[in-house]
Amino acid sequence: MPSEYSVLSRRPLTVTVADVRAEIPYRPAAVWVENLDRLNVLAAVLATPEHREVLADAVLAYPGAAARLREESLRILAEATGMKWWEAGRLISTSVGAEVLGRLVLAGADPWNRSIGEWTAAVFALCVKGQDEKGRMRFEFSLSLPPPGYEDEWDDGEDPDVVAGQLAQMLGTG
Amino acid sequence: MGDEPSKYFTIQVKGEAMRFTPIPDDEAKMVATLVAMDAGQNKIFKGLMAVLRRASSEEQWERLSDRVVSLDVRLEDIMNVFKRLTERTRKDAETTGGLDVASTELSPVDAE
Repeated sequence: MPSEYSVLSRRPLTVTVADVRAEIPYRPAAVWVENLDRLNVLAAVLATPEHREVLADAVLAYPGAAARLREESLRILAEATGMKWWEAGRLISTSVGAEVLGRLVLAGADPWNRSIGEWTAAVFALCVKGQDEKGRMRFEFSLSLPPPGYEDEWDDGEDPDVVAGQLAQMLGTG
Repeated sequence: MGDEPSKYFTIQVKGEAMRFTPIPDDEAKMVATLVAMDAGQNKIFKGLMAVLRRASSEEQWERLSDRVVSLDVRLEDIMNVFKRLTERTRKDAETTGGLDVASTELSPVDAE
């Protein structure tokens, strides 16, 4: 069961695709980063070779298994980072830019020795460092915007009126 | 057998013209998923053949599978047919609004 402490976890993750369960062993942040361009199949790519073959069998045998694999891939990214999958994806993309990666490396963060949860948290911290309240709110808002087609998942549990008020304040129209 | 399909695409398979029905989106995604996840070649081959079987008439399927067994048609040829067929299906859907073949690519995750 994921919790707010999952970002520090080195435990394996489990995915279920068409009644097939596969275990994803702990992988350092660098492995997640280098496979971000295969987000649709991330769970299979991170699985052991044996479990990857089991997942391939499921994709072959069951209609809809490919879509389920995508859902599970997005879910484990969210679970491992403790944030929405698109937020994690954006922070991971940001982390490979020369300036951000350079700052992280100079600060001693090694993606081969950190979990993906720790890595995305470090990128987030770097992005908001030195920002005033307005700048931080703007960054958090742009990070939280879901990609097209995922608007329904944008449920932050906050009162829409409160958010609208904060936005208006941020934009100077309140 | 079901109703006669109303649409076919003719594609050359190593010198022989063959007719295939459009590839449904979920089947295109199934093959794309196997390729993206680095599944074994035999599994990708099985996926491709399953898709082409459903897109072929019985007579054509027998002919195509005979050519595969005799190694006249290989995995790369089958993959090439699949790519051309999905491309034709996609273009057809764009122009006619017929079959909905959505992109199998992920929406880009922008940096900031």
